[in-house]
Amino acid sequence: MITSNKEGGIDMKRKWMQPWGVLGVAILISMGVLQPSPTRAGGAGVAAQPQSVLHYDYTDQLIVKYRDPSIARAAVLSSARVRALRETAGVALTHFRAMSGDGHVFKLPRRLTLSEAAAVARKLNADPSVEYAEPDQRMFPMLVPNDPLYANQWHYKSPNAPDNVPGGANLPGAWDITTGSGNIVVAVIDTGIRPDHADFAGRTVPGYDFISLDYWNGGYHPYTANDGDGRDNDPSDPGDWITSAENAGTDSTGGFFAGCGQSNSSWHGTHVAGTIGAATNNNTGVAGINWVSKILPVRVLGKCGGYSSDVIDGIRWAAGLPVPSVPANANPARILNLSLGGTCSNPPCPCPSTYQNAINDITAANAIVVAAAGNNDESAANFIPASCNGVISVAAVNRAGGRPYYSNYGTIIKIAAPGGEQSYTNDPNGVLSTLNAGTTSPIASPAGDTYRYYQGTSMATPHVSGIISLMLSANPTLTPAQVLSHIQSTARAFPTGTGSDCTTSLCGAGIINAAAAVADVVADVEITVTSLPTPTVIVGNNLTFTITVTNHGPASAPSITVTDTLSGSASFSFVSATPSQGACSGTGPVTCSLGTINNGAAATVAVVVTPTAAGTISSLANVTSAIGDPNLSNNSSSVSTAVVYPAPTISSLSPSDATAGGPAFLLTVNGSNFVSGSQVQWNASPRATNFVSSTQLTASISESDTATAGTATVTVVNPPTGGGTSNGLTFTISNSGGGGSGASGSGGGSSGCFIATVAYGSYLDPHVSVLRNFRDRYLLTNAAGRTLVEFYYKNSPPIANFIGRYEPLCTLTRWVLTPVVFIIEYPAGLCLLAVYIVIQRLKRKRPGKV
Amino acid sequence: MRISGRLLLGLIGLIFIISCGATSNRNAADNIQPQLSVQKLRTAHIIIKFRDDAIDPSRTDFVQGLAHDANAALVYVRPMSGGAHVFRVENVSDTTQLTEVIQRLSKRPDVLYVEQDRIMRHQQGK
Repeated sequence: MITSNKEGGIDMKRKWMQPWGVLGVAILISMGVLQPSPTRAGGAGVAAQPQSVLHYDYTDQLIVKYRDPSIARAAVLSSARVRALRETAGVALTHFRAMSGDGHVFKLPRRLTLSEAAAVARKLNADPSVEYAEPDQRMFPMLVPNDPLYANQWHYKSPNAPDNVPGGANLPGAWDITTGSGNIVVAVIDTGIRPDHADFAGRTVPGYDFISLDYWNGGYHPYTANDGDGRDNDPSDPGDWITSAENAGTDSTGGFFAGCGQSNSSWHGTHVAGTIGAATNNNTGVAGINWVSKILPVRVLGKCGGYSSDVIDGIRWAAGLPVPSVPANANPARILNLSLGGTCSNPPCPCPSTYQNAINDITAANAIVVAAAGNNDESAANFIPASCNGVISVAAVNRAGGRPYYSNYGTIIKIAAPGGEQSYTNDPNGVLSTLNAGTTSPIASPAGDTYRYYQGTSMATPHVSGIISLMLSANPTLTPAQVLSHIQSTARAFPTGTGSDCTTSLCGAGIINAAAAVADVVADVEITVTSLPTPTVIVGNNLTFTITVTNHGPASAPSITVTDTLSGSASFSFVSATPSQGACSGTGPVTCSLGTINNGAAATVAVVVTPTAAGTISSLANVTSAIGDPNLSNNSSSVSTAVVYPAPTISSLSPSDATAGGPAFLLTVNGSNFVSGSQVQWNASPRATNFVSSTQLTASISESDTATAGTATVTVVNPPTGGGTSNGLTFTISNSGGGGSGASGSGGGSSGCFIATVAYGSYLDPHVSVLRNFRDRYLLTNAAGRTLVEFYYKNSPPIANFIGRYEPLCTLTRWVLTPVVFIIEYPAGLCLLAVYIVIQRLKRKRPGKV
Repeated sequence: MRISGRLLLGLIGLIFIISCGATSNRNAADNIQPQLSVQKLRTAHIIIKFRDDAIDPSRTDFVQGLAHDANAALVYVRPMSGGAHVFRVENVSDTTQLTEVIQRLSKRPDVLYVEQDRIMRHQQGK
């Protein structure tokens, strides 16, 4: 079943009144697929509900239908039309897509509450060209368990259509958010349970039997325990029946149970535990409130009840507190359900100190005590332990939401929950849950597994405990005081006209509202990633991914963790990850602990990388929190950015000319935006190129390139994606003897000094000039020198290319060449060095001289 | 004489009213303490919390001292969680007698509180 959940008010009614909406919804309702949006008010006589912002109260889209069919049926709207709509709306709408039924979906600039979106839609509806405009409300599944008897569990149902149960606990909406957590344990402090019941399979953790032996007629007997012994680690319920003889005091005990009242076994703890956590969605029996969390059976009541001293030991143990001679509880409970109590016959009966001390200690241990208000139709102030401070005392309501004849009442009561009101045994107006079919001793499963309707504040209490367990499953950080505050603030007002109306002075803050209570303690955390620059970034420039985490509430979101995974076809280097709060670590992936983000607040993380090659870089960001999130669809976000090479430019060539017929040489190309894949082209033909820096390339120009006089166009081509061809510069090749400043023919003139040019980075470097002048003046002027130069030009280009690839080799080469350049430039220095060496040697030959 | 007779009746009535008022006040004062109506007990258990958790109230001499102050036979049953202790009061069959024992023991300076170990029942409606 799918439902639009809640939205009240004129705007939504108007939405449903639109022809298309009405038609579509009518069809869906007739198909049983969709139920109309329930209103907050449950109907006549029901007061307005406390407001609670749920995750489905938001949308970031509007649906607009134009009157003009040609516009309505267009797949794409003109920019002028979108602009006009934007002006009417007063917000930056963008056309998202055309939809069936000739409507169009528009994106809002951000997520708005439904009432905000409806306000924008109202403006558009004023436009005569618009037939209707309305929020594109999100739909959510309404989780319904498949347990066959669930249909009879009216006490879980919603007060709204189609359930229309004013006294229901409204669970389906809560189950949409959570069905429980395995980390939460609920203790059932009761008569024990029948562990072999099929609806408890896998639902319990090991409990304990706290019923002590009875002292009677001079000896100790397991009369109350009824299991043959005193305390032990078996909390199974052996039955608590009282025979007529026992009640009359004529049985073999000699009157131990006299006056207890004849009764069959109640299997009370089994019934209570089933409400809290019967195995659910298992196609068997009934549904429980919590489908996942575990039940801790703690047996304290036997035949004719149990001592307070055993109850108190049991509740302390359940909360993880120590009890003498009892092994520690390995599974401490966060919630303690006490569908039990007692009173004194001469009120007032203040909370006994033993109870109050235990409850104080349990609350300090962060556990919550939920107790029945009692079934005496009197003030709960005299009912123990409901009257104790720190207890969530629970009154019962019937199916109509009124106070049943038995329920205790008073200002001490915190909350009301369905407890039923029966006119006869197994009247379906009671609460339906698990039971054993035995009237005295239990009947083994499966024959003994059964289900019965009970009534009482005992039955109301586990509804509250179960719902609290869902709240803690969604938000384990809640304190007992916070839990009470949430269940009271989200409670539904008591209906009137029930014949026995509850009021807040009689039955607590209201009827517990599971859907609102659970929704009130979760946080819808959204993560988005954007990139800058966008949509492309140039190789070598920084790319910043900005991750924004927004808490849409309603609760604060603690322990926010963001994980950002960077990937893609482009290589890149990680630069930094800077959070607006908290700290980040790691580079692949980046993990950031952002701490708590309050309702309505946001935090950001800026992740910076430097792409080193073209391709794409993607950022995939995920967010988690310690709190339940009702909308997981917005917990991850990704963005991809294209990395492109820049377009290169050339500013100068060195040399810029040469003599025709000259030797091969190394051409230095100066410019900008060069990358490691850049290629120098000679008349559009690629040449072996060496990347020196983003502003300089060198290329090997062969003898054939300058064999004949003329000009050549030198360009640089950067590889795709992006890249492209630079501007061209002209290289002049002059006839032999024509002079020029460039590479000379036959190894002379201004041809490059390949290795030195690579080492010093430029043909124009002064060191290179010194070497070039030396070549021209001293080597090319004699036959031996010319041979040497020719040999050098023939063999040095590949060496120069190799050196140029590695900066350390360039440095080393500079170290070797610099003294040579110095000596060439300053030959007198060589003479002085020689004189110095001679003097030092002479000194060594004159020993004794100090 | 008729006047004297009326005066006498008035005086008698006044005394009656005053005496009733005094009775009523005493009952109100009694209600400050947990007051249990007469109720038959299966087994009379009490819970005592002592100011000093370090003492061992199961010692025979200590129990004898408690029994002396309670003017009733006491038996130590067991320690409880939270530092309290359970005692059985022998030969007590109703809440009136048990209340007297509780009131006597609560006067001991080493007793933080003492209260009846009440029977709890489940709250399934009939």
